[in-house]
Amino acid sequence: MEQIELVHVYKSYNGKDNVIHDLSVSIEPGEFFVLVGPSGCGKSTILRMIAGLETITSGTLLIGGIEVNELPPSERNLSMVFQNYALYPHLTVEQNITFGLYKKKISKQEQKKRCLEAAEMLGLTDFLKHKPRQLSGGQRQRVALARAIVTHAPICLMDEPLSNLDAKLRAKMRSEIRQLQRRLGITMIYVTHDQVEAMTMADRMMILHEGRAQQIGAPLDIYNHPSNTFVASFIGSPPMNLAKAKVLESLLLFDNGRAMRLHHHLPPSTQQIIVGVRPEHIRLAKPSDDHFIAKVVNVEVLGTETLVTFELTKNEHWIARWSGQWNIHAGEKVPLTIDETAFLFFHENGQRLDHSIPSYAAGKGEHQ
Amino acid sequence: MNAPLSVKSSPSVPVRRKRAVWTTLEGIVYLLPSLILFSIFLFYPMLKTVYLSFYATDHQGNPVQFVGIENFVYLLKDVNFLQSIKATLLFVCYTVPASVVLALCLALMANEKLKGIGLFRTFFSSTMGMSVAASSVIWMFMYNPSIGVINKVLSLFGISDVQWLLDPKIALISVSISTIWMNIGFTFLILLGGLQNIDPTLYESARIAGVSYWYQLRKVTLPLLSPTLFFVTTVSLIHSFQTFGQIDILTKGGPMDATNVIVYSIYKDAFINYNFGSASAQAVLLFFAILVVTFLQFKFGERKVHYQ
Repeated sequence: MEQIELVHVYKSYNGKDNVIHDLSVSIEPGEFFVLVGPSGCGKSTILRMIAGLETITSGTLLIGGIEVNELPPSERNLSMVFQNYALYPHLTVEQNITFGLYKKKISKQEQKKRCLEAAEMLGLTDFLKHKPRQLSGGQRQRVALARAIVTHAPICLMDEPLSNLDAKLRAKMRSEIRQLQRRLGITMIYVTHDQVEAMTMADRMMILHEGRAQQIGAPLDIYNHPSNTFVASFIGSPPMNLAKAKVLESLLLFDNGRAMRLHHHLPPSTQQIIVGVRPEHIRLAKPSDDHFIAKVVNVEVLGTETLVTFELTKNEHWIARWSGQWNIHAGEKVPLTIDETAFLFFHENGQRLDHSIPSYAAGKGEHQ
Repeated sequence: MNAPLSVKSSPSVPVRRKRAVWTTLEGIVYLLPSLILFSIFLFYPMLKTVYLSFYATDHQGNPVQFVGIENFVYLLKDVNFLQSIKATLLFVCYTVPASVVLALCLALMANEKLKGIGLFRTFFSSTMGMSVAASSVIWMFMYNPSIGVINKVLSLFGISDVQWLLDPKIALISVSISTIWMNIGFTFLILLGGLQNIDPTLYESARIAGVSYWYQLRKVTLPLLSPTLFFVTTVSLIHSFQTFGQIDILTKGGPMDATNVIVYSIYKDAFINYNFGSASAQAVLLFFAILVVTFLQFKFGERKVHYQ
C-alpha cells in the first residue's frame, strides 16, 4: 500500500493547450479513488500519467513519497486493467494471467500458485486452458482482473473496466471489484464516466471537467454539497434541478413570474443567482404547507419510485422524485412544496454560494 | 383467423421455389461482369493451355497432332528443363525469405512512433511504385562491370571486376538481389499495415508488465502478425515462381541458362522456338507446382497462424 500524490500536474500534447490544468490530489493507501467526468475531461489521461504511459508535462507525481515522473511503467509497481481488457488473443487464459510474471523473476511454481489463487478468487478455474475468444464479456473482464491481481502490485489502475458489459453484469462486477479491493487492501484508482459507479464504489472521488478538478471528496459529501453547478448536475440521476432566479429580500423570483418565499434573507449582494434542488426534495404539498401549483408535463413510474416532470416556468422543467407508485397524469396541476433546507444557491458563474446551513435550519425551526 | 395467417407466414412450395430461383438469378447477374472478365482472360487461356499441352503444334500454335502426355515425359527427361526447375527453386529460396525478413525488419522500425517516420515509410514502400522494367534497367546499370556503381564501390575495398550478370555462379544471386529490392515495397507496406492493426493497449499492457523488447516481439507482435506474414509469404512465393520481367531485361535467361527460370523457359519455347505444345506443358507443370506449394503452405503453415 502506497500513497500516490499529484502535485500541480499539467499535461499538454501540443505544448500550447493544456488538457490537464494544475491538478493536485493525494490518494491515500488502501483507498478506492474514483476519477469521474464526462468523456474528454482528461480522466483517462490522468490515469495513464500515473501508469507512466503518458509523460507529465509539468508537475510532480509521487508514489510512496518518491518522485516517479521519469520511471518507466514497469518500475512503478502497479497493475492496470484496460477498458477493452487488452487480453492476448493467441494465449490461453492461464498464459494471459501469468504474462509478465516472468519478468519479476518468479518461479514457475509460484506463478502457477498465484494464477490458481487468482483464478479461484474470480471463478475462472474451469477456463484456464481456454482462449479469450471462447469466453463471455464478463469472463474476459475477470481474466483482466486476475492478471492485475497476480502481480501483487500495491496499486491497481482501472480504465472504465465495466463499460463493455451489460447493465446487469455491470452491477454485479461493481460489487465484486469493490470486495476484491477490500480483501486485498490495494490502492485502487478507477476511471469511469458513470456517476452511479462513482457513487457506489468510491471511498473518495474526484470530479473532472475540461481537465480541471471540480471537486474532491466522499461521494455523499459531493452529492449533498456540490461545489458548483457542473458537479450538481453531473452527480445524481436524475440530475439536480437548476434554474436562474432573482433574489428580492426573502423572495426567489423565477422567470415568468413564479416566486417562492423563503423564511430568511439571502445575502443582498447577490441579485441574480442559480437555485438548485435535488428531485427527491420536491414533495407533494400537504394542505398546511406553503406550496406552489405546477403543471405536470410527464410522469415516469419506475415501480419503486415515480419521476414527475413539471413546469417550473414556461421554458424550464424540473423533476420531482417520489418514492412509490403515483397515479398522476400529464396535464394535471399539483401542489408542490420544497423544504427550505434543500435549496442550494449558486453564483451566476456556477460556484456555490457559501451560505451556511445552520441559518436554514434556524429558519425552518421558526417556521415550524 | 389462424389459417390465413399461417399461409402468409410460410408461402407454398412453388412460391418459395420461384423466389429461390429469382434470388439465384439476381446473384448471378451481380457476378456476371467479373465472370465474363475472368472467363475471357483467365479460364479460357487456362483451358486452352491445358489442351495445347497434349498436342504437337505448328509455328502458329495450331494443334497438329494429339500426343498424349508425351510433352510431359519429354520435359521431365530434358536437362534444360531440369536446370530451369533448379534455377526456379533456387530463385524462390533466395528471394522469398530474404524479402519477408527484410521487409519485416523495416516495418518494425517504421512502426515506431518517431519524428519524421512518415518519410521513411514512404521511402521503404516506394519500390512498389516502380515498374519491374524501370527498376531492372537501373539495376542493370548498377551491375555493369565497367561503369556500374557497385563495382566502383567494391574497387575501393580492393575487389575488382566482378561480372555480376555474366558469371554463371553469380548471375542468379544478382537477379535475386534486385528482385528482393523490388519486392520489399509491397511486402513492407502490407506488414506495416498488419503491425498497425495490432491493438496498442496490448503493448501498453506489456509495458506495464515490463517485458523486454524481444520477448514482446516473440510473444505478442509475431503471433498477432502471423495472419499478415502468412499472406505475404504466400503471395511472395507465388509471385516469385512467376518472375519474368527482370530476367528478360537483366540476363535473358543466361549465362549458360543459369537464370533460365521456368516462366522464361516457357516464353523462349513458345515465342522464340515456336514450340507451343512443350511451352504449354511447362505452364501446366508450373501451375501444379504452385498449387501444391500453396496447398502445403495452407496445410502446415496456417496451423501456426492466430486469427483474431
